[in-house]
Amino acid sequence: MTMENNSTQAAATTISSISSISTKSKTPTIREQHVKKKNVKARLFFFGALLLALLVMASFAESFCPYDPYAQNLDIALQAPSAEHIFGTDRYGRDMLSRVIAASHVSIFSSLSLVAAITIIGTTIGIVCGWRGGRLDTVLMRAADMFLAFPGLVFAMAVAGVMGGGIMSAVIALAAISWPKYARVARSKTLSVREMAYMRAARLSGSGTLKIIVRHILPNILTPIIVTSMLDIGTMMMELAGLSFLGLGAKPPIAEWGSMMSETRRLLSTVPIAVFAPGGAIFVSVMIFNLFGDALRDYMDPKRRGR
Amino acid sequence: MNKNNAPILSVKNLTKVFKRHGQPDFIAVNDVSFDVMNGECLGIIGESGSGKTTVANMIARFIDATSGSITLFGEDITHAKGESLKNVWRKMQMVFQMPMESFDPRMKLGESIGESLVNSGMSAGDVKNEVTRLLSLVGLSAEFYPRYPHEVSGGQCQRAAIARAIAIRPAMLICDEATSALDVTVQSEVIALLRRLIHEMDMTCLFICHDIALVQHFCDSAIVMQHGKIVERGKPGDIVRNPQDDYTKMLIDSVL
Repeated sequence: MTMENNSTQAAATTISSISSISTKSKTPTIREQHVKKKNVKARLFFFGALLLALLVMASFAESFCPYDPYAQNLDIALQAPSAEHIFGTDRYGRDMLSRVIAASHVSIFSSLSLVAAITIIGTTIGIVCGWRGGRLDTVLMRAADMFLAFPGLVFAMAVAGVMGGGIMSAVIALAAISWPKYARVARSKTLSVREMAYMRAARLSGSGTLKIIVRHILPNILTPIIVTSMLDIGTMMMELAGLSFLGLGAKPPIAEWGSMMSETRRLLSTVPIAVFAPGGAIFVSVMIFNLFGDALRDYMDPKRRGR
Repeated sequence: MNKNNAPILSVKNLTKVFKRHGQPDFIAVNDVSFDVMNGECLGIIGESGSGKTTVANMIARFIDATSGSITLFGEDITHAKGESLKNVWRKMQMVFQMPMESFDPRMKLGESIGESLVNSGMSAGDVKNEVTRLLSLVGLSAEFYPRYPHEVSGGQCQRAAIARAIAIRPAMLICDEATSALDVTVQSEVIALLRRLIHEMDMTCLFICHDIALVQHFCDSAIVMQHGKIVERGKPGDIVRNPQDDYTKMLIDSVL
């Protein structure tokens, strides 16, 4: 009798645990999916609008500046924030707000061109490796491993140092250490796509290698690459600012957020806004790019979209 | 269906060995020989892993044969590459097992069907008209042109795949388990469609299938494969009525 009770209890416990599991892992209802989908779209539009505003500001930075960002006036040097100079002035009497706005052009577009370059280079190498395979694949992938084996920023500093500084050499230095990630993603996606039956169908139709790569492989591997590059813009912006801070990126007097922080770092205790203004600009821009990248990833991934 | 005795496709002593790292080599196809006559429909029967798809892949030149020879229209295509391989594919097309996976998910069905026509140099306007004609030939309306593979059913997708395969009017059609992924009613529709097109377009067919009843219904002759070897060959009706090999008997018993 006791045994019977025990087994009934055990069965009841099992049933209740199964039902609790099934409640926890239940698939979302159509309404829930709809709401989730709408949220993802709303986020994408919101951060997309912010991103657009940021890009417009960076494109026409000079026209948004209240003062000339390069005009020196030692009479008003190191002023605290006021109605005239919202972020105060630096030690040459340049308006900090104007310099922060002007710097957006170099900071944002150098990160964008860096990410564009590594996306194109990395993806091309990845597709060639995945498609051709063999010795070429081994050689290029071992080269990628070599680049990944170095501590990224240290290697970039060495490259930028050898090339003699300047924003262009900072971009090249970071490109040299960042392409392997894209090559790896593109290679693994190409390897899986090339085995699909539609690749055989494309070959049967008489399409050549270049046409197959452009029309069939590239469109089918592009989604994760675009998402990776969107999420990378923020990281690259920070690394470029880091190199500039160390004096290996943009050279003074060019306004660039990293080099501005470096120029004003001694004023941290006296005029902290001079350091926080470019720092805040980096923070806000990186956040906008990252949040837009997140929203884009959710939008492009049907599972996250709640379909 | 036999018209004359000239073999369109001739396969001699075909063998495929897959090298495996740290394991003994795997012989997927072992000394297979057969001829397919003009206008004939030859069925290759066998369970999964018997090597029938590997044979098809070697004939279509997706993979290289380890030894043996493949002759199409009297021309040795065993090692065809580049332009000569493109010429082979103008004469020989294939319908794959999984209809959805045989279409690029990012391309419209019409674009995929017309790809071989574009490659053969046809103008964009003519391609569109021809694809619409091909769609109607396989029982699909022009509305299917702009649809993506995931927007149509398996049967409709396989009809589109057949339209793609016959677009450049090949002399030979390889159907690799072309109806296996479809449900029974759709399967009979697709078989009827294939039968009509093969007859109308005067094609020779290599029909790979694990279903012996379907081969009996569809093919003029058949070969049975097991472990990469041909174990029996003849008319499908004779094979079913009077199987000589134990494996064939087992195959028939499992169906009938």
